[in-house]
Amino acid sequence: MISVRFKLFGAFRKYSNGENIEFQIPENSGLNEVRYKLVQKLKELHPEFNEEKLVFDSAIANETRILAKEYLFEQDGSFSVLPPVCGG
Amino acid sequence: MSVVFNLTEKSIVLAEIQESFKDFSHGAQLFFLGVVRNNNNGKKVRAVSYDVHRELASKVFQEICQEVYNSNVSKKPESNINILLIHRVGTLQVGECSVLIAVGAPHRDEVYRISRHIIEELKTRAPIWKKEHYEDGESEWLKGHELCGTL
Repeated sequence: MISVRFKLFGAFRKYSNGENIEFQIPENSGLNEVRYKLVQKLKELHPEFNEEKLVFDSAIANETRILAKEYLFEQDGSFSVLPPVCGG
Repeated sequence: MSVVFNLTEKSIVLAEIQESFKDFSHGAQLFFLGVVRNNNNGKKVRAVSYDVHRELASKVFQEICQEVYNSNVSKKPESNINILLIHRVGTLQVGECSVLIAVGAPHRDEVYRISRHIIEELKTRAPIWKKEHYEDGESEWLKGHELCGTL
């Protein structure tokens, strides 16, 4: 198992109180496996959480770039959840 | 080409920008301002809040400006162009400037095309999120554009 930490932005900010969300996943998990796990963790922390679709509409980024669809989580790391954007 | 970008909690003051952006080799300067308006989808807006992933936003701004340099957005990439891009973060009241794009170039054609390109790309690619606060006390994050693995 590896440890992953997620920083939340935009509509997800209210679920993290500025803290990272951290949990463990099997090595070589894919993006959607991690999204499922993130939803589970958010429901565990916030039973009222009902924005599952938004998690799956969101991009996942490491510290330098958005992760491609085929990305596999191979080691511990810090990531960000980026909901659809609306700047300007 | 000179490119400067900034994410700031401070008010954007156009007069100060214009003064610092002077370049007497430019025959055209264009200042685009995005401003917080007082309504959206039939709701009365009193303020908006912006959240941003600073590191990735800076990277996107760099990439967009690099595209301006490389692509046919500027037909003369070697030409003398200055770009300043400022985006606010935090909470803004109605009427405040949320984003400023200043473009200076020898001729008008380039500044119009570059400015338009930057704002359109920023809106769909920059990791920035907007929450509207309404006069009835409600607030909501606006739905936006899904990011792809392009960063």
